[in-house]
Amino acid sequence: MAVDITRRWGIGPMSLPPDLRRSSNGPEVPGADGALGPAEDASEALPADPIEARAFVEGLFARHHGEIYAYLIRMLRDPELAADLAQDAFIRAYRAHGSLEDPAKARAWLYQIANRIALDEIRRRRIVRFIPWTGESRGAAPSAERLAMDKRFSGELERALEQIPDRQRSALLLAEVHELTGVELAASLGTTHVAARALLTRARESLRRALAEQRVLAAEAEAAGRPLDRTATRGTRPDGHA
Amino acid sequence: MSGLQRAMRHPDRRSDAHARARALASDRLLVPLPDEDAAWLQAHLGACASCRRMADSFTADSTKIRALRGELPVPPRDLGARLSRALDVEVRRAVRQDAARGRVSLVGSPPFTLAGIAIAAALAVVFLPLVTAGLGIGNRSTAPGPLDNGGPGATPMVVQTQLVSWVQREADGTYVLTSAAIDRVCPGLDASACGTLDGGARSIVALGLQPSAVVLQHNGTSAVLVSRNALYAFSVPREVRVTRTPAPSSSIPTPGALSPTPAVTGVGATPPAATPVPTGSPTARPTRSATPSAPASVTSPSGNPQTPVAVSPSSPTSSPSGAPAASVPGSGVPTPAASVVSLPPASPAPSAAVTTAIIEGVVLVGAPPAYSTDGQWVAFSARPSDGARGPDIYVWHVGDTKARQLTTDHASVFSAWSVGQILGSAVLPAGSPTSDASAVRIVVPESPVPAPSAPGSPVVEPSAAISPSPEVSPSAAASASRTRVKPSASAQPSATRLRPASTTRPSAGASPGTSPSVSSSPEAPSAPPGSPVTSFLLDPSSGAVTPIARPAVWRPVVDPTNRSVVFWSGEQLLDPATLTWVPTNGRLVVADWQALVGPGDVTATPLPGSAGLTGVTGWDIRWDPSGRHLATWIADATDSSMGRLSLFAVNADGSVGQTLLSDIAALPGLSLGNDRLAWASPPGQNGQGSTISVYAWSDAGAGSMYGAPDPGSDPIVVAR
Repeated sequence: MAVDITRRWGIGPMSLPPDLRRSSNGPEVPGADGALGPAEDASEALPADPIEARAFVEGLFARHHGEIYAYLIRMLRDPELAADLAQDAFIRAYRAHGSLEDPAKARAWLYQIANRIALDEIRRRRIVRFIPWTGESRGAAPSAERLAMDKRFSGELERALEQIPDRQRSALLLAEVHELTGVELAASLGTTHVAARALLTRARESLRRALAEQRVLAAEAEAAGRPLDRTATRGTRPDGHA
Repeated sequence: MSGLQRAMRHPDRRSDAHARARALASDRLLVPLPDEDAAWLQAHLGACASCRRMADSFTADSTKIRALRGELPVPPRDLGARLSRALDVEVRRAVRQDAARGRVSLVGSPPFTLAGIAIAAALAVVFLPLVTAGLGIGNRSTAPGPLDNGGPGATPMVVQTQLVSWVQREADGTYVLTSAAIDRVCPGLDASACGTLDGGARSIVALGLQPSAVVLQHNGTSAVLVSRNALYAFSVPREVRVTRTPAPSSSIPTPGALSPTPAVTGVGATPPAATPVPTGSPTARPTRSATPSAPASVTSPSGNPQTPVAVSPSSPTSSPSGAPAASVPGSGVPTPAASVVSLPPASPAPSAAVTTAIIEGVVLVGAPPAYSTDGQWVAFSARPSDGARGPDIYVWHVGDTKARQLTTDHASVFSAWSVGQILGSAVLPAGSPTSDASAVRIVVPESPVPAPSAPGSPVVEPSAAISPSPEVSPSAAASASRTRVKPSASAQPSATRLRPASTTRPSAGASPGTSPSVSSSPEAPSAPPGSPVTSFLLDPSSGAVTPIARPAVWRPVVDPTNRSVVFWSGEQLLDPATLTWVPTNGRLVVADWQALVGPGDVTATPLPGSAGLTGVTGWDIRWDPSGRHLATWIADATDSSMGRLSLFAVNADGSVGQTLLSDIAALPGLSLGNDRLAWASPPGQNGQGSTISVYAWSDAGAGSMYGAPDPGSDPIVVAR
């Protein structure tokens, strides 16, 4: 008798918990914003007018591809992956073109797509992290871009940002670096304005603790006369998660 | 302890004020706080040192993070090109799905044909104008999109908007006529950074037949489809308009700036209201240009007696299958003066073509079918598929139900149109009177040109005498193996091996570097008078034949300005299996057309790359509408389903200039416009499927654009 191995061992899509089956950063309050449709609902759908959708996405790309790429690279710390996912974000925007109800909010809508892609990728990484490495991969030797990126992100602030929860990091980056307004931030995070502000407050608190921890680690490393382990934490994440 | 006391002692409850302070301290970095909240926060921070430190920390951290705004990483330079390619795939997928939905082939379903026509016409009349106006069709800008400026890989060059059409097999097994507007190309032949042209593609009509060739009317409202044993006509139900202002013919193309860009109104400049909306309805039956008359007598312009090419009565009756005539939808009169390039909307699925067989039971012979300049006639040559007879020339008038047979000698082939008349060629019966006109002299330029006959070319010695007469029986022809027919003097009734007089081999005494003049030419005259091969002009309406007195001219193709002509000079080979004469062991030459039809001497120059074509069974010669470019497709000797494509610039004097493209692998069928050439590459190139390819030029230079390779192994058919 044939056995559905994916169901038995729980490694297929059906075994994923509900929060993973849907988009990792799906709207906490569906339709809260009222202007942005479910950006990923149409991930496999086709736009009603492909040519119009393409022209629209090309316009989005011209205006926002730099910031979308920058956002993704700050979230993922991988330039090649960020480029791939930036392309993916615009393709999803093309597919979901019909879900955008207010073109004036296209930027936030695009950030929402990019944010979901980034968080999904991060979550995917955690899921597959335990898979044994069986051989060479394309990432065996870091590229020059990757080395430069590592150096760029080696500062205290970058390390602290790396330590805080992903959703909090995305909220901070979107608000502070990408200058989204409160409404745009809520739309991009797929949540209400109140929830977005609360998330941002928690993010600031987490960052404050993470920065303090980084300073302690730096002091300890300096006292011990060894280089700072840029990936080290003091055992717990700033938000209390192990 | 009371509940209230417990609640007040709860840590969260006790910290409500501090939590509010933290929230407001965070919020004020995002948006200005209301005055009331700002005052409360100020008061709280003044009283709470912990909260004050927290707020100061928030501000300091925010400042640090905002400093990252100036450190935005630069995206990869090819990100735009990558996205463009990905979008091409997406749009292509959408077009394919559109094509796969709601498609019902009406081919071969007579009961539904008239109903389908009526429904399609009614829907087109009612909805197309609305859809067109609502979607702004014809008003969409086709200027290079922002992706084009997104990176160095995407450096397209704007060219005059062109429409390219092709037929491709879809996943569901149907064939869809697709059109795409081309307004940009990538310089050179490497268009990898330009994406694919499928992005702007529209599914025009779904075909229920596998075509070997498709010919579109100039105004895109009707078309002819060639299948294995029949030709079909169909109306294009939605708008595909590619007419344009004719380009000036006096300009000389140069390699750098191949041709001046004619003034053509692009899509973006065409107001929607002005966009004509063909309905595809059978209401506009065109008026014939001439009334069919009795069989015409043959008249030679030189007054020499000529063996007449047998011409059938002009009544539109005959077809090899003898199928009866019936009413069929026609199309509107073309408007060649319009300058419009427009496409239908992409979202609706293409409707099924209502095809009508205009001739059945035949195999196409000679040049591909072609519309006349006014778009009212389609000429072609075909032979019965059972091999009972040789080929004859047929003509189909737009709106008629059946094609009409023009010649009855079973030895004539269609070559091209020339000013409203059909150019054809025929192998004359043995013993035909000879022409007094001098033969064409082949002049080899100073640059070495290969000999017309490849080394080791087999020379067939027939086992039996074979007459080039069209009345050869299949059995006799079959027993005769393959017989070469001499394009020269007195036709021999028992033609055995006949060396062509139009040889281009240098004579023994010829010295290298001889100037290309007749007097010092190393070439001998191509053929003495009385060649059994002749060409002629044939009026499609009356059937009147005007022979071309010059002997040994096979399948001439005249440029639109009537300056130059390209024709085959070489041996003819009788294929006993098909009873058709196939040129072999010769070459394509270019000559002055006026001189060719005049009484004096005429010289011809070999077309580059056309010599030594032993075993070649077919070719396709196209001039662009301005006569400034010439494209040639020559079938491979071993596989006539593939060939080599070349593109030449034409000098002001009509001579062939620089070779712009040479020996490009291509499938049969090419489309040459004023400033673009389209063809289909054969499957298997670089391990990919068949691909639509476009080479376009403007004042800024020349470049290319390609479609996405066909996912299967089916060849793409470029619509002419």
